[in-house]
Amino acid sequence: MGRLARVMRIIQPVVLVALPVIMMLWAWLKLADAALVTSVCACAALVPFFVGFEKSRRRARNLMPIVVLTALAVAGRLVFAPVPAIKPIIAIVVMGGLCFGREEGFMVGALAMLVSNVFFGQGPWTPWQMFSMGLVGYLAGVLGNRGRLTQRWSVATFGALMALLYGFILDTWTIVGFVSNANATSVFATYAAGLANNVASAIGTVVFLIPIANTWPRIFKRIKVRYQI
Amino acid sequence: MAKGLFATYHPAVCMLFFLAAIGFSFSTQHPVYVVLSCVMSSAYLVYLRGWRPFLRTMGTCVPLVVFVGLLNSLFNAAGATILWQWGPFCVCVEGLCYGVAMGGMLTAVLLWFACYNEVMTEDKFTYLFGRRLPTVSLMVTMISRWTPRMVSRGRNIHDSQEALIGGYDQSRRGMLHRGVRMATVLVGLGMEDAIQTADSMSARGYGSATRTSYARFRWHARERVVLGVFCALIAASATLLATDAGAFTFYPLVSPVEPSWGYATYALMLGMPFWVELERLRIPWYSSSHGKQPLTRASVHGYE
Repeated sequence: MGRLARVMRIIQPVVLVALPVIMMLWAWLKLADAALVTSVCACAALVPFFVGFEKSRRRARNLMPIVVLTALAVAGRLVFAPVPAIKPIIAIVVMGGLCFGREEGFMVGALAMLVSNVFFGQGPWTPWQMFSMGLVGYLAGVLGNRGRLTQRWSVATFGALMALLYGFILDTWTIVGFVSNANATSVFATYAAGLANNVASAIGTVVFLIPIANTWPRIFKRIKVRYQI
Repeated sequence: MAKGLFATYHPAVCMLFFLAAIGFSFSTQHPVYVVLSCVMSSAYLVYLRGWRPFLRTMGTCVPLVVFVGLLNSLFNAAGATILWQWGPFCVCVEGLCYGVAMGGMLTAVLLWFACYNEVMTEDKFTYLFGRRLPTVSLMVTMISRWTPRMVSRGRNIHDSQEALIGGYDQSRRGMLHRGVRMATVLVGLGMEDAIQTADSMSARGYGSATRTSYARFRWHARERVVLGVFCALIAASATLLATDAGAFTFYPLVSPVEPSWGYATYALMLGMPFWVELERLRIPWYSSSHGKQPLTRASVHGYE
């Protein structure tokens, strides 16, 4: 692994915290051009992850779990497109981070949103969706590395929290970017409008995670041993 | 291939245009600039795809735009001209104007993204970023290939299970159980398959040298000329827009719209996909650098 990759790996957690803080500060101080600035910041926040991953020089076969999980997540989003809010995507990203590590988890989440938006339409939301979904995978990877989240119910609870976090970040972006003079009422109205969607997404994630929380780590373990990933 | 000469330009030029169009549209709520951006993006999208898909795109944008517009106008007491007040709700003329401007800005950005999706196809995107980020662009390509494969394999698994087991439990619980089992099979199967692909790639020398790329896109004189003109337009629009937008406020009273040269430069900048069509006039000094080649690569490759 190159030096650049190591530097990027140190920057990553800083960026994960810094972006939401900058977003909140921008709204708090009522600074101008919030829509543009927050979008540029979100794109910039993706850089350390992509560059770090690029420079870590993984072997081709070590990329394949990410490719397959991401493709499954995209296919899941496509198959579940007619059903509002309930998608297997967060469940798959959580399992990816949990079993393969934080950087891999981030890539599964970010790439899943990037590629699936080719079908659902790219928009100003793309960098934010990539960032938030990547954050979900990254956090799962951090907890997975520490040996937490081995019980089925703890994984499911974590997944539900992550679904709410994902919705929370995107709702906050709506307020910061597109509402002028945000006050308590408009903030409340935005979160209330997103609430049903976020709760449904959390429930969906739990429903998907419970059956796979024990099986998938076993499958991945076998593959890791067999192919020495 | 998208319609028009603009789509045949070097991907870097197209990318710069969309970055500028989306960035500028995002940066201002000045009503004239918002209207210009909306008109130009609508015109280009209609040109690219026709009226029906344009209206469909507008239809998908409406809920978001209306939501943002309402949010800005209903809960905002910063304006001076109050129309209606009830408890925390206070609707003022200025808030309504701001809501409409913000909705228009969002519409313009969404329409530019729709044009982007049409022009910046995946091959151009990989061409631009393939050499800088070879691993990531390889992964994006593989994911795009694996997604339909996942769906079709899922269908195979479904069909064979139906043939083996016969009558299905049609309850929600049964369907969920089947869906999860299918996903599990797909993941295991997919990983073994993908790892074999990776081994086969490594055996054929993947990663042994820096990646090369088949350059279908070249810099010609037209790229240089257009890029120069476009950069000049960007600089002019940026300075003029900054002064105009600085002089314009919504609160407490909406300021009057002053005439400015900025509108013209902004319209010219956003109209790039249209004025590059001037190339068809066959201006001698402009098209001469193509040498013995016909005027556009579009006609060589039979895109039109």
